[in-house]
Amino acid sequence: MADVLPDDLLAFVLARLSPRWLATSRRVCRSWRDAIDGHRLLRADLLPRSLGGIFLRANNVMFPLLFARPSSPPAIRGDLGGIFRAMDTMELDLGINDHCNGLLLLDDFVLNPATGRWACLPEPPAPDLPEFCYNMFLVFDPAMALHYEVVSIPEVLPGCYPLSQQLKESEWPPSPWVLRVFSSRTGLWEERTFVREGHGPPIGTIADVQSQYYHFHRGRNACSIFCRGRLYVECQNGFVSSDDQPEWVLRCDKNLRAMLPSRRSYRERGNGPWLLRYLLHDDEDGYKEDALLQDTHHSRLGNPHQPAVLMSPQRSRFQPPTGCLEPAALPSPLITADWWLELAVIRATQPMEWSSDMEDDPKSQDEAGGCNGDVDERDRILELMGHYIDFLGFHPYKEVSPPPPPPRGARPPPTPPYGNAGLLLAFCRGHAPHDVTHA
Amino acid sequence: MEVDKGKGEAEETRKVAEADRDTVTLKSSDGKLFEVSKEAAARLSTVLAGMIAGGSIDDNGTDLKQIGSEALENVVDYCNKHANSIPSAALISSSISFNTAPFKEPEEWERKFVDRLSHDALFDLVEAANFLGMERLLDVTCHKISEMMKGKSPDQIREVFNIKNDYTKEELEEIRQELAWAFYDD
Repeated sequence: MADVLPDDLLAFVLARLSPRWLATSRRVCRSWRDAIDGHRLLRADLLPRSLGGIFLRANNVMFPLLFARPSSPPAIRGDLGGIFRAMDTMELDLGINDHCNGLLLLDDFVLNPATGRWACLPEPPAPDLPEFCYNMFLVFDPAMALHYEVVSIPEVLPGCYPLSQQLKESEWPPSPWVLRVFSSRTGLWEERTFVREGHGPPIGTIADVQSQYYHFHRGRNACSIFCRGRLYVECQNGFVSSDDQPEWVLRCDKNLRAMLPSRRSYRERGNGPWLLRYLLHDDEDGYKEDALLQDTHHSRLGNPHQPAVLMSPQRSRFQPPTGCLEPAALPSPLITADWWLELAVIRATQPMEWSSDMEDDPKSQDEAGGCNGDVDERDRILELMGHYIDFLGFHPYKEVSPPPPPPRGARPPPTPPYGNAGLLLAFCRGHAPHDVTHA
Repeated sequence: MEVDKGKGEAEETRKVAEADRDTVTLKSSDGKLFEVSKEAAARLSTVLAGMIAGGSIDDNGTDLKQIGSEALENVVDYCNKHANSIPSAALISSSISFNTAPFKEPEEWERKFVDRLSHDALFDLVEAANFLGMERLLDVTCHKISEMMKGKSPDQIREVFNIKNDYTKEELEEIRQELAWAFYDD
């Protein structure tokens, strides 16, 4: 085809591909690579593939704070307070329900803190099963499409909520299962039907789920992971997976449970103080680095004169005591997207060394302020966090700019396309893996 | 340029006669003639619109030497179908802030129109649309070709488009590594 179409028309065609397919197309032949590179069609540098920071919500600040690596000016302001004031909203409960590749899902809107842009979700349709509670999960992969989806998944409530006998005896999850999915592509809530893969036997009934009910922690940051085109959601009963094939698929696979990181209540692990440590997972390098993170807009957390700083154990030469970092809290390599991020909270059970190890970056040391070796300040911050901590990693995503027009074309190529993100769902039981015996 | 007055008047008369016609005649590189609605041609092609406005349409067939008869037939077919189609409701002009400029999806009949074409005919039509400044047709045809690339491995793409792999094994590995994040398991 390279011989058939001139370079600029080839570029015009390729410009419609999402970053992932552009990356594939570069491998086809030299002329395709040259067309892609020559027209700067693939801006992988704009994709959220590295950790931008961590949002942290503490009980003495109204808006979640973004902690990011010190840079001047900050790469992302992440000033949710400013964004919300600009929105003129009366919304005060600013819990972040879910997040995905740079977008945040709040109660009824989706926000991109990197740009400050946001969109309200329309009222979801009345649920099929009003006896259930519904959780929303965000799906967004800019390497595939610039549209996001919000998936609404019902959760069985404990036995104290009465259900009809007929409902109790229904299988869970049902097959076919109709779920509500909001698509930013159409601006509408749509129904998608999932069918159990291979039309296998049911995993259990709703009564089973109720009888085994325990209130597993969802927290603000529900147990969902979107990676490599699949959404995994920790759920009560078995595993479900699906994709965008004509028939959506519901798959039962007990191995999925092992792939999900444990996110138990942080409270369950005892009182603070806590150290926040992030692990940037990378296929090649394993757990790549820990780093110092600094409050991007210098909110005061504890001390009115010093910006708050979270410091990684490694950078501060802190070695967690053996057994402190629970292996279950670490993501298995199976689940890791290239930009997969896992957060782990380490409970500090021993006195910590906080001497800074930031000789390579004197500026950071200055900005770290009184936290370097200042035990009182550190204790105070940690104490505050110990009371209430809620956080999530954040990958900034600023939209891919439209590439420049091909030289001969009469118009610029379209911005990256709006293909289906290849959604695939996987739910898993909130119980121990051996519970999923029917799988 | 000196123009003979008499000839100029004749030219004027001919132009008026032409302006009265509802169609224009286009001539392919291999000399075949096609008639197309003047209104549709002017609306869909910036180049034809310019020619019509500038009076450079030849009653006996405007020469389009760059376009073969098969591609021109498809162009004319597209214009006629477009003239007859009822424009669909405006695409959702979404208030969703993360959207970039809306890309107009091909309509059902447009999909069918390009689906029936062979690869060669499709590529010829892309070039014809580009030459004639037919933005919509160019969009539709390019969309179709890009759809043929999505979800395929490099090998599959080469097969579909009959492309020779001119990379060495080492280069391929290197280029794969450059963007390793994009490749799941192929």
